[in-house]
Formats: sequence, C-alpha cells, structure tokens
Amino acid sequence: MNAAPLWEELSAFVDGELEPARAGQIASHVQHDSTLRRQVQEIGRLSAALKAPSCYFLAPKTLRSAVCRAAAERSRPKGSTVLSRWFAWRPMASALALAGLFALSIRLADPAVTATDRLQEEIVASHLRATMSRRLVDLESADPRALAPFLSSRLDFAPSISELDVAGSSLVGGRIDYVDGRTVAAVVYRVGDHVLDSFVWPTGKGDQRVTQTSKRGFQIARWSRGGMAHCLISDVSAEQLSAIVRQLESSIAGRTSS
Amino acid sequence: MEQRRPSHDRSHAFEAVALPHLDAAYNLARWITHNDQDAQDVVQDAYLRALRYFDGFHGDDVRPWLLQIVRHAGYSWLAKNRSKDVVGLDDSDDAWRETPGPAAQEPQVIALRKAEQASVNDALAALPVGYREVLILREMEELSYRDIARIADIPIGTVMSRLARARRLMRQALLTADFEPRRRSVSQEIST
Repeated sequence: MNAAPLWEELSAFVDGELEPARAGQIASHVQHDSTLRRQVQEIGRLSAALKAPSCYFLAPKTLRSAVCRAAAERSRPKGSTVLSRWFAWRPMASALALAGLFALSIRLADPAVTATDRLQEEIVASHLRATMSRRLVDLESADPRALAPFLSSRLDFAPSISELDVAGSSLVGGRIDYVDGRTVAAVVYRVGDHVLDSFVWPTGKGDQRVTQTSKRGFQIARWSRGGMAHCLISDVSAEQLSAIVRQLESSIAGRTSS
Repeated sequence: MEQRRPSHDRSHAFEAVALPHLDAAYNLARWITHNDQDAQDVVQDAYLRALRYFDGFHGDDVRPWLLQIVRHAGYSWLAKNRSKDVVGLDDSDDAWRETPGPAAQEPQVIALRKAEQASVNDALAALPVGYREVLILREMEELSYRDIARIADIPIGTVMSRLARARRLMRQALLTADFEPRRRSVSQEIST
C-alpha cells in the first residue's frame, strides 16, 4: 500500500516518527507532489517559529535558588531543631578533621619522600654533569684491578668493581663524585651508545631490595647490600637496566658472601 | 542522627539530576499557567513531588520523568484555578483524521513565513492546552512521540494525531492573524 500521505501522517513524517519503509514511500511522494512539498515546508516553518527564543521562557534565577532551598529544607527530617541543625554540620566537621589528619600524615611522610626524591635528583644531576662536561671519569681504565686502588685511595671505603657481562658493554673508568652529602665512587660503563653510572657508597642501613624508577627520562635502580648502597643510572631501556642490575647484583652478592 | 548524611546527599544528588531541566520545567509550566508567578509555584510544587519520588526513579532519562511531574502539577493548578481551560479533546475524531492536508498554495506558505513572532506566541497560547503541550514538548523540547506519550499520559497514536491537529490549528490561526494589520505593526517578522 503506497497511498499519498494525509496531513497526520505527513506531520509524523516530518517528525521522523514513521517506519523507515513508509518514510521512504512518503519521501518519494513529497518529491513528486508540489502540494505535499508545500505542506512539509509549512510544518517546517511552524517548527522554526516555535523554536525561536522568544517562545521559550527561561526559569528566573530566583526560582533556581528557591527550588534548592526547598529541596534542602524538605530533605531535613521533621522536628528539625536548632540543635539538630547544628549537628548537621557534624559530617562536615568530621570531614574537615579527616582532611586535616590526611594533610598531617602527608607532612609526616614528607621527609622520607623528599629524601628519596632529592637523592634521585642528585644522581641525575651528577650523571648529567659528568656526561655533558665530558669529564666522565677521573681515571680511564677497563681494568677493575687498576680502578679499585685508585678509587679507594681517594675515599674512606673500598668499592668493589665488577665488569659488566652484557653484550656491547665495556668498563670506561671511575671518578669521585658527591652524592647524598658525601663522597661516593662512580664507576662508569658504556652499554652500546649509552653511558651507565654506577654509584657506590657505604650506608648504615640494612639490605634493601632493588627498586627501579624513571626520572627525567633516565632509568634509576637502587638497592643496598652488605652495608653498601648501590645506585645505577642510564638512559638505557627499563628492561636493559633490569638485566644489568640482575647481573651486577649477583656478582656483588657472590663477592660479599664469599 | 544517622539518617542525616544520606538525606543530605540525597538532596544534592537530586539537585544535580533535576536542576539542569529547570528551564524545560519552567517553560512548560509557564505555557500551561500563562503567567510567571503561578508557573514558579507549579515548578516548585513539581520539584518537591519529584524529590519525594526520587528514590523510586531508576530510569536514565530524567527530563521526561520530570516533565511528567511538572505537567501533572500544572494540570492540578489548572483544575483549581482555571477549570474551564481543562477541556477534554475528542481524539476519536476519525472524520478529521481522514482529511488530506490543506491545499497549500504558494502565497500561504509565504504568509506563514512572514507570520510575526507575536502572532506565533498568541496562536500557541490560544490553543487548547492538550494541543499546546504536545507542540511544546515536540518543537521546543524535541522529545520523541514515546516520551510525549508518557508525559501527557496518552497513547503514541494520540500524540501523532494531536500534533497534526495542533499544527493545523496553528496554521489556521497564523494565516488569519497575518491579515490583521494591527499585529503586524507591533512586532518583528520571523527572520527566516
């Protein structure tokens, strides 16, 4: 059945409320019938006129606040007294107290956070300074047995120096650096095109497992073992650094246990 | 004292959900009552009713739900204050439904195009409220026939016929109004 639409159907057609099949039929009727076309235009004109802002009454501002006030008033349980209204502040008071406690706990945790942060900043700065100034090492040597006495003679401890058993890596040398408020040994390796600094210094704290983070595009790994703090920094990938850490860690562990 | 917090949150949740539709609510109430103060009272009344039913509302489309309550409050106001405005509409006027569209001629389309905005407002205000509300919900709120059916509490088929009838009545009113020079001189033309 493909009859020409009556006014009612045409009105629903303009509203897009007809079945797609019937809407298609009507569309072709409208296309070929100038009277239908004018009727569609009329409905469209009327629609546009009714959408004019002057037809739409916006809610006065006073109504908005009145509705909010009434809703709040109505939400309050019956028999609301001055006392109970005061108690209505209790959730807010406890929230404030909680917020205060939270802020306090952050402040308490603060020194530890900033200490780690500061150390990482120092390590990054030291690494950058060395790589950019080209004074990468005080003594250039690929031989750990030559490096060890050089470093220990300038420090109050004797750092152990391992060769890296990683493809494309080489021992470049060592230098004395200043980190965490003290002089430390920095052993420098090359891994492919990357420079890797390995900082070592004595620590009073016990052994700590490896933690690896990234800072300003550098990978940093830290751990402590046998009274020595170790910190590696390089712009190698996180996976590469993990592999290097595992290798160095096991060689150091083997040495300290032997 | 333990109920305090939930009721407090509830009022805030309600505001967050219902306040964005305040303009739509007021506009509908304003067109039903024809004046600002009564429209405000109707909206306030409706919002308090809505708050009461808020816990039972689990739908995702707030606007039709809220407008349904506003319309109901508006009709309650009409029944109390303008009972003669609440007229039953003969939706079973099958004879009318069978009529073809008016044989629109080019001058008439032009006349409608030039109809003044004041005439449009007057014509809409003069429509029986049952036609007026479907036109408002459709053209101003752009709601679907299904939503309108729910709000006005009528079948979808009735929405369709009332809208068509409302448009036809508006058309007649505007064509008549357009030939009254008195109105033409006081307001602007529709720009399109």
